[in-house]
Formats: sequence, structure tokens, C-alpha cells
Amino acid sequence: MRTRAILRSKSGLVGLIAVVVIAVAAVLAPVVARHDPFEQNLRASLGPAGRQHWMGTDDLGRDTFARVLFGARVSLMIGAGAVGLGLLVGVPLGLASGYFGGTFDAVAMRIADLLLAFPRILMAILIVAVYGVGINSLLVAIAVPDIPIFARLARASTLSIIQLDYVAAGRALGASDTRIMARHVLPNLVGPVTVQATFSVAAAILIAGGLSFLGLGVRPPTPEWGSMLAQARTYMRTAPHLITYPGLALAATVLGINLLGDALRQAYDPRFRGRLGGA
Amino acid sequence: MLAYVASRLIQTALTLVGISILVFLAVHLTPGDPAVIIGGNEASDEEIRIIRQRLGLDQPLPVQYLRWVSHVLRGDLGRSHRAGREVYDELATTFPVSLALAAGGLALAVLVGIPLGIVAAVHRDSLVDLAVMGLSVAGMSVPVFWLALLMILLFALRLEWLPSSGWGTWQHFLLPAVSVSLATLALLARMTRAMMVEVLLEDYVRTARAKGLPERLVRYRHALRTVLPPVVTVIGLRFGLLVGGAVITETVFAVPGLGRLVVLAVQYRDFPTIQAGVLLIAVCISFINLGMDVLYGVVDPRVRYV
Repeated sequence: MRTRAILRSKSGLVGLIAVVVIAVAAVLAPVVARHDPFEQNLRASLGPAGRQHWMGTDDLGRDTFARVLFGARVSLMIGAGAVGLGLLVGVPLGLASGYFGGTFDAVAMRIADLLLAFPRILMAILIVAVYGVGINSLLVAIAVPDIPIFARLARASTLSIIQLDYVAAGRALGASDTRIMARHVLPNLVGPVTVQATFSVAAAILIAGGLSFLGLGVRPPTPEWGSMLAQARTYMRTAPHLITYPGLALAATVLGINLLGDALRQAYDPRFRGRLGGA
Repeated sequence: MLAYVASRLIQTALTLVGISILVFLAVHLTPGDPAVIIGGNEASDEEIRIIRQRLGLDQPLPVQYLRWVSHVLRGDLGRSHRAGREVYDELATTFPVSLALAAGGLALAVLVGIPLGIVAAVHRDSLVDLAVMGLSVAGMSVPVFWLALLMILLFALRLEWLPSSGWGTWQHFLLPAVSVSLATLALLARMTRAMMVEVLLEDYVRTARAKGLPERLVRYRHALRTVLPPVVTVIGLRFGLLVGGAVITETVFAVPGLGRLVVLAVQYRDFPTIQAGVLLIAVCISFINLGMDVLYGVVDPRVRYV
């Protein structure tokens, strides 16, 4: 990690702090929250923010602060899990594709182009429609659109790396294809893949929230920011705090990760001055 | 030029075939009887039998696929068991609504996003630049559904200026259009700024300044001309963003469009509608990409040789 370069950019620092705070909050959720996120108390339903409940309570009298905290766990796990899945499939595919070329490369890249021609949310909806609503199909629905992105990226980097002298030197010394790919090419993919993965996590969290909001992702009673917002709609007039906090948490998380991604991109490639957006 | 257009046409055709295969397989590779999946759980034995016959479900998959495609091409998209109507009619009523919303959102993104990017680039590193870039990063991070709810809270419930849901008048149009345009607006502002900053450092811009042209002319005649074509391409490529925004926006504001139709269909596992809706959106995106590429090829001769 290029920690110093990240710390040098102010927005990168802000992003890093935001991500660390949210991650720590997610890990320590059971300690920090003073209420059980599932504990109902109908007498305290739709209460405003106060001493007892820092972010108020929802329609079932559950503590919003606790639910927002535990929601961070759900969102971060889905984001990291889905992107990890996409990365594990996409990077080896792209690496092999760029390294060996030929028919395999041609076919793999055609399929990748096809998947990229599909809007992300639409493909996710199609996958959820087929496999049913649930956390597993949500993970797959978010991971699959990431596969061609990582494959394309890994392939492009591989193509430029195998031109380099030290790869030829390795080959001259009798290194096998597997060894060259693992020892010479793969380490060079870490930079671009890390940058893309960061933006992908932000996008994954947004899409997971969106699908859950539509009732196609994480379902209640599991505390998830998107589904909390969907439930809060009914009580918008009387309890606007139910809209404010989960949305704020979601936006802050995605913003923090995007800022971190920008800083990472500049750290790995100083020529880059943020030409394209993340997500 | 002709060869370029022809090759892009072939590419688009191949993409369309691929997409149709994907949409077809979505139903046929799922565990369970496709006839029951398509007909829905409440379908009678008679209805299931008709579906089985119409799609030839005892035939090999490629035959079934060709049969399905020929039905689709003739406009026979099957029956929606959720709405109890022909899927074709469902699409015919919802598609124009989504198109209008997308056009409005896109217009807003272009008319606000590009000027914001230009202003930020011209006043690089100033407070204005900082504000525009901050807004742009925020715009890409704020979830559409949250923004939509906040707007409803403020403009519909508190101020009571605009309706919170529905469709038909320009008041109904405003909030959904803003919500759909957000992500694209933020992206356009950011891209325009980044490219404008680079172009303003180019030699020919310095030459233009050196020969005493007014700054306004340098910026809008010389610099902007180079910036616009790639920005226009991105607008086309990012049409998917608009669609994505529309699926959620239409649901929040109860806009009777294609996106909301697909979401409803998924909730009811209404597969004929899902298939047709997804297919229609994908076809639109492919044709828009094709149109943009051809247009770009006309404007910039270098593209044809890539």
C-alpha cells in the first residue's frame, strides 16, 4: 500500500478516516450499541432521537442507532464479499486470457463485452429474479457484473507486462508459464486491481442498498440500510429521522470508499488526475 | 466510413443475439419446470399446457430458443400473469414514460453538468472548483433512493410544492427527473473539468492566447470544441446509469414506467414481463451505443481506423 501517498491527499485522508471509523463501528457494533438491533418495544415506537435512543426508534420500537451500526456490518460484508467473488473469478480469467491469447482470449473477451453491455442493475435484477430473493443471490447478482470488469483490467495489464524484458529473461531461464504468471505478472496487477476493487466495493454497497430498498436484496428484519429506508417510507411524515440516519450512513460509507479509491488511483498512477468517475 | 458502420452494425447484431440468449437461458437453466416458471404458480393446467406447446418445451434448447426469438420478433411476448394482459401492451404503455423520464434526466445532466465542469476547470483550484468537485463526488456517492426520499420529504411533505408520486403533469416530472439525472450529472461535471483542465494547457490554446484572442473565445471556441466529442460519447455509454437510476426512481415516485414494471414483475416472478422488459432495455442501450459510435465516427475521422 502506498500509505504516504494516500495521506498526502487531503480527500484521501478523509476517505481513509471515514472507512476506518465505519469499519471499526461495524466490528464493535455489539459493544457500541446499547440496544439489541432486533429488540422490539412497541410502547417506544417511532420515538425521536434522544438520550435513550440516539437516533430514535422505528415503527417496532427498535433502536435505530443499533440498527444503523449493525447495518454497517451487513453492507461492508456484502460489498467485500461480492467484490472478492468477482475478483477471484475475473482476475485469473483476464490474466490467462492476456497471457495465452488465441481463441480462449477471443471468446472470453466477447463474453466480457456482452456482459458489460448490460446495465449493472438490470443484470442484478435478472439474477435475483431467477434465483429468488436472498443474500446468496444478492452476492452473485453483484459479483457477476464485476467479473468482466476485473477480467478486462487484468488482461490489459498482463498484455503490457509480458512485453517487459524481465519476463523474457524469466522465460529464457526456463521458468514455466505458471511461474511467470504467478511470480512476474500477478504482483504487477495488484495496483490497478486494488484501485478498481475499491471503486467496486463502493458500487456494490450502493447496488446492494438499492436492491434491498426495492425488496430484492436483504430482507427485514435483518438491519440493512436500504431495506431500513424502504420500511421508513411509510412513516416519513411522523418519523423523518428514520430516513435521515440510514441514508446518511450509506452515503458516508460510499463517499469515504470513493475518496479512498481516488487517492489510491493517484498514488499508483501520479499522471492520473481523476479523468473518470468511480462506481 | 461505410466499412466502419457495417462492422459496428455486425457487432451490435452479435451483442443482441448474445443478450437474447442470456435472457432466454435465465429462465431455462433455472431449476424447475420452465412452463410453470413462465405461467406462474397460479396458472391452470390448461394454461401450462398451452405454454408448453407454444414454446415447444419438449424440443432441444436451441430449437426452443429459435422458436422464442421468432415469437419475440413478431411482437408475441407472452402473457403477464401478474397484470393479466399481453406483455406487449404492458411495454407499450410503460416504455414512453421511461423514455420521457430518461430524456428529461439526460437534458438536465447535460445542461447543468457540462457548464459546472467548465466553470470548475477555468477557475481551477479555486473555491468554486472545490465546491463543484465536492458536489460531483457526493453526487456519485449519494444513493438515488435516499436523495429521492429526501426530496419528497422537503418538496412534497414540508413545502408542499410538488406531488410526491404519480405521473402526468410537469410537477410530477420534476423530482423524478432530478433524481434520475444525479449520477450522470456528477460524472459529466467531473469529466468535463478533467478534460478541460488538460486542454487549457495545450500549445494551441497558448497560441490562441498569444495572438491576442479574447479569453472567452479561447475557452469556448478553441478549448471546448476538443472537450465536447468525448464527453458526448460518454453520455451515450453511460445511458445504463440513467436506466439504473430509473429503475429505483420510478419505484420511489410511483412513475408508471418500464423500470417499475420490471421490479414489480420480479416481485411477482412474472417471467414473461421480466424477459421482455430486460430485453427491451438492453436493445435500446445497444442501439444508442451504435448511434453514438457512428455519430462519433462522422465527427472524428480518427475513430474509424481504430
